[in-house]
Amino acid sequence: MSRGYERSHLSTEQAHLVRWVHRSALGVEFGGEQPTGKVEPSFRAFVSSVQLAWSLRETFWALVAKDFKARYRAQSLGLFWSLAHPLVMMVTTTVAFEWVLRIQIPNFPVFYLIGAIFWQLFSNVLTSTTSSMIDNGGLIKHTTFPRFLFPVSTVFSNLIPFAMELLLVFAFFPIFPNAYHFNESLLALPFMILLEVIIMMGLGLVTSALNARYRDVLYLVTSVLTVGFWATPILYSSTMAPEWIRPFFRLNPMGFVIESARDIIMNGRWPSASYTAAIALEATLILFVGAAVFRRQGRKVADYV
Amino acid sequence: MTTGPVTIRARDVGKHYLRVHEKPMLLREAMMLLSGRKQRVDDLWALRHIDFELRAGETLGLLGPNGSGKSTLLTLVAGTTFPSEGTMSTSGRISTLLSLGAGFNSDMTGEENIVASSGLLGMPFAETRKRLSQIVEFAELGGVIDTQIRYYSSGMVTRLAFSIAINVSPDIMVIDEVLAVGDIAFQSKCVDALEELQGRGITTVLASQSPVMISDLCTRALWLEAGQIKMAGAAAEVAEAYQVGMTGHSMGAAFADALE
Repeated sequence: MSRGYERSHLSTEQAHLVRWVHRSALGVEFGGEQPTGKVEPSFRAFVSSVQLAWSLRETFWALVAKDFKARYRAQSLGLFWSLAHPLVMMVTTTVAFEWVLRIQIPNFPVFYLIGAIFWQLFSNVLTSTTSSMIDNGGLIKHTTFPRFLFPVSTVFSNLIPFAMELLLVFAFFPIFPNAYHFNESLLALPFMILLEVIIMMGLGLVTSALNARYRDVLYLVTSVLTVGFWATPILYSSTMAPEWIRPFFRLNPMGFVIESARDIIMNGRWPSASYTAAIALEATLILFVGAAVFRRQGRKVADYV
Repeated sequence: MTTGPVTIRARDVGKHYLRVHEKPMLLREAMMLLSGRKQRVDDLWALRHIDFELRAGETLGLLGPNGSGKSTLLTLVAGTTFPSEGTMSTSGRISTLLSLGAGFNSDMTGEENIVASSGLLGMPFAETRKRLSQIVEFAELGGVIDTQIRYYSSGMVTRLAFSIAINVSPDIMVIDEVLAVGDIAFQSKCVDALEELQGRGITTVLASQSPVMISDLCTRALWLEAGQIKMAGAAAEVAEAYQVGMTGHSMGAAFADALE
């Protein structure tokens, strides 16, 4: 009956995943057959879990696709709704601002639409990453791949409708030709999106880990988002605010992303290099804090969901 | 059968839970921290002092009354939870069958779920596509594979989950008492499949309420009672002792009773 031990059914690509994993209260240790009892310091552990995630990139895309399909399968018209929402908001806000309140901002519909889609992405991602651990409870109890893939894949699945909305911004060019000024500064636009992605990942890692433990975090996040909507130059530009409040505005990375995106698309103006560098630093800091919080909490997630 | 290398090693593993009486809320904890009051919590050791070693090709059966820690031990082997003390070590890809249809999306079709689930268990897409027909065929879902799985019966969902779990080239399989949902024909097919996997050197940990199944399928068994190992040894002996301990009859006597 003894047929020995065969590993021939494993392809070479999978074979490198066949190694010892030691789990203890200290954390997880990868490597040889005997645990050393020493868990890697947090930075090296973070790097090795990113390496593991990279080796599972197909898993990651499976997660993104599943998340995206789940969201849009429930709606018969699918992506149409993700475009209808900003359009309706654009029309109603334009009517309210230009005709009722009579606040004059040149090319307001485009001005607002750019701000709205960048904010909508931020707000959608934060609410859905916050609950991503609870939503994926079944998978968390079932599978072992690095937990940070849940919030991170949610960020990516939200980028798909965002890309459609960005195309919508450019589709208004024939209607409001004066609102646009296209030149080589458009090259900076992907960088603004990247900054927003880094910020969202950092914040999403914190809120998703906390929400697995404390179920009221989602309420907190939605309240903060409401404040954030008015504290960010979406319906107005930061130059309209009183002088004393502007330094606080400049700290808000989302305000920077939105105003830079507007400057790029509507005025063809490059964002200031020093300000961009400062915000990039802030975003990186947010991501590192997020990764640190997540590392402390992520291990326990399956005990809570 | 025990010629393979060690693939699972549990060393003095324990799992501790703090049982809180109210749903944890950030706001309440913050207020308690400020007022200096302590929340009422109970200590609960779901598992303690669990030691065992399994080699490739071995199958470990877990027996024990409800709440004895079988499922907790399975999640520790699967790596979804971490031990509170001791070390749980595993080598190789782990495939799990822990709860019915967990990880499936009921709005997606059977086929879409196969691709998604296999991907999440670490299979490359190209490989899944190659094995798709094999998975569908084993699950006997040929006619309904393009239907959303919300219209599947629970038996059909189990068949699909089992078929995916054994087809992702695992080194270790962790199975909770989900097989009981399938019909007898499928159950006996699962047993055959598991025996074939054992022959290929796959290590299996299986929890069941049925001593007969444990003694048929497993090489070794643990009898858990209140989170501790009450008995460990050859599957047939442990299963017999468990049967006698729980019911007062031996397995042979139960079978004879059933025949009369």
